[in-house]
Amino acid sequence: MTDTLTRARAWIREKVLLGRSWREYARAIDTNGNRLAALVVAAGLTVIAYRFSGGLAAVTNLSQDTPWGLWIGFDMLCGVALAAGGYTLASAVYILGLERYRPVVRPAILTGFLGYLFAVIGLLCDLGQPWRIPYPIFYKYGVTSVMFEVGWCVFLYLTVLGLEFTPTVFEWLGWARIGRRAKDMTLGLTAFGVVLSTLHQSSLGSLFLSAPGKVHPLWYSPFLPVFFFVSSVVAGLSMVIVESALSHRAFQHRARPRPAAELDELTIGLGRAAALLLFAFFFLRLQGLAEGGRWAELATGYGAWYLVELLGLVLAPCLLFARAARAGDAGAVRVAAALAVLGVVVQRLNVSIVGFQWNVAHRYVPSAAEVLVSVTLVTLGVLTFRWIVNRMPVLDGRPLPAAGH
Amino acid sequence: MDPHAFVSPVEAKAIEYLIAVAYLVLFVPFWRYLDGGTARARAAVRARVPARPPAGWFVVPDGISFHPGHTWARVDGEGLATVGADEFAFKLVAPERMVLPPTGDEVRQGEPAWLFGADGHDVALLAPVSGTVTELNTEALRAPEAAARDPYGRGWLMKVRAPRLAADRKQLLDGPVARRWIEAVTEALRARAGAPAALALEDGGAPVDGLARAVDGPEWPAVAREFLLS
Repeated sequence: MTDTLTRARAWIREKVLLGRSWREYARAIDTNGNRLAALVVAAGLTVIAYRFSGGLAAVTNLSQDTPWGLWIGFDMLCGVALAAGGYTLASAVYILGLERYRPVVRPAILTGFLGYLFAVIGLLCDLGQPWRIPYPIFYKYGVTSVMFEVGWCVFLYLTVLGLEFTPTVFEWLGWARIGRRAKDMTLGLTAFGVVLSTLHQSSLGSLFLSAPGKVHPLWYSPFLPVFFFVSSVVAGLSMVIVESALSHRAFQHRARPRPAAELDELTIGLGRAAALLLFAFFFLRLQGLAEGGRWAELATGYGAWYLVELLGLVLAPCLLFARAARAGDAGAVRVAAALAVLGVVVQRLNVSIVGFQWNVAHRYVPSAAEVLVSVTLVTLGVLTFRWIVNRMPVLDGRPLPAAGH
Repeated sequence: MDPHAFVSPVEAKAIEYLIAVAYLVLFVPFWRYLDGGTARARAAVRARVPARPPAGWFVVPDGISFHPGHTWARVDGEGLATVGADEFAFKLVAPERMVLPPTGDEVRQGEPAWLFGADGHDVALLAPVSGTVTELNTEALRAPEAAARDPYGRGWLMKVRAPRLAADRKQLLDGPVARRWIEAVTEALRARAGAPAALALEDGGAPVDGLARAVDGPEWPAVAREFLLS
């Protein structure tokens, strides 16, 4: 008994506390950045607790006119889009065989998993009756709703991402045999993940097809599902570029030592792909505009904002990606990626908040509490990412020992 | 105006076709522009990061575990380690003096443990393991330049009683991983703006003492701290 307890203590010390005692660990994490994060999380969790005790009206500015606010527009729509790096990179490496991108697959899958996980947590805050979240899966399916497909796909894909990440967890735990079995599933899981992502990334756009009168005509288009799918791939690639640069800097001690040129080459390759996608996306958006035929709307205030999004956050990053990739300027590719990420966030917010219920008397503006909850979820996502990367072999991509060793 | 009013399908379709044609016409030069840069981009990236350093610039002996802050530890027995600064740290700073903690002091892995001083500036080095200092290499303290010539042998700096040596070593680099790491660090130093041409030569010559001063002149302590992670 004492022996088991000692072993458990040693295990926690080695695997969780990074070889420190509880006191030493507490001292090590007592930094200004962590204190700020703790403050944000404490305030955010208080608001979330209040939301569950007092109801949505207690903390949000949502109404019967605008039942979807920041938690859907940002946490769900943007979170899911920015998490698309998982299926984008996994399919590039495991299906298309682009092996040189393998070093960034694990962080991309982890980002994807956490992005979806926190999007679902955000959704729980937003649902009027959150305890009914399993209904479409287990009880009352509601097969006629677009939400049925989104619900199922997100449920399945979160499971797939979790399974795709298990080899890393098993390596951390030192369970080599089961780790190899988990790795054997990678190709199947990746293929399944691509199918599910194609379905639900586009379905998030389809949600708005059921409310044509509520979306501003500049943003409403029958092509919305296509826009959401293509922009998710752009967001996924761009997030991988941004996240790998930040991780390379922040987790230098955890990353497999790798020349800067290797990461730069990967970045430029991803930037080239993003340039091509954004080029196509720009023309698709023009098609959407032509289909609606609302050119005159471009002369309004909404039109000016639409042009800022289309020219400044779609065309500009496209050209910057192309120029930087051609010149071999990885730094400029990263700037373009940050711009493209911002572009996808703005596009999703424009469809779901700025241009949604644009003609009602009382416009929705998110409350400070809603913003705080979203900031809290992002902070929790970053802290979880850091916790995992500091412990598990995410960045160094050490292979499992071959069978028989 | 009703924004969702009926739109002439003929007009809309005509514009859609024009956009589709424009896309196809523009895609060709766009692709050629992007693809034409492939070789150029690769060359540009590689030019910025100079070729691999000549073999043997920095030795990575077996049996030595490296902290990314350019200090090392060698296991001498159960819970006992010898620690020192690696060859890169000695070459980077070329210390004129070294300030080590007195015996009996506690050092913590990843926290500043001792100082290298040169030109009136001090830079801290991080302890590779946690524990209690039990012995100092007074010979190395007296003659840092001699310690620099044999950093993993006679140039050891301290003996440390390290109760969590096994856990500490998991945070350290050794073998092929350490070799790749030292190559990457060397490349990073050579790629710095202002690195004199002498550093980028591939003549197989040994790197100069005081690399940080050679790269950034009076700003060298900042460069040294950046590489020593202190």
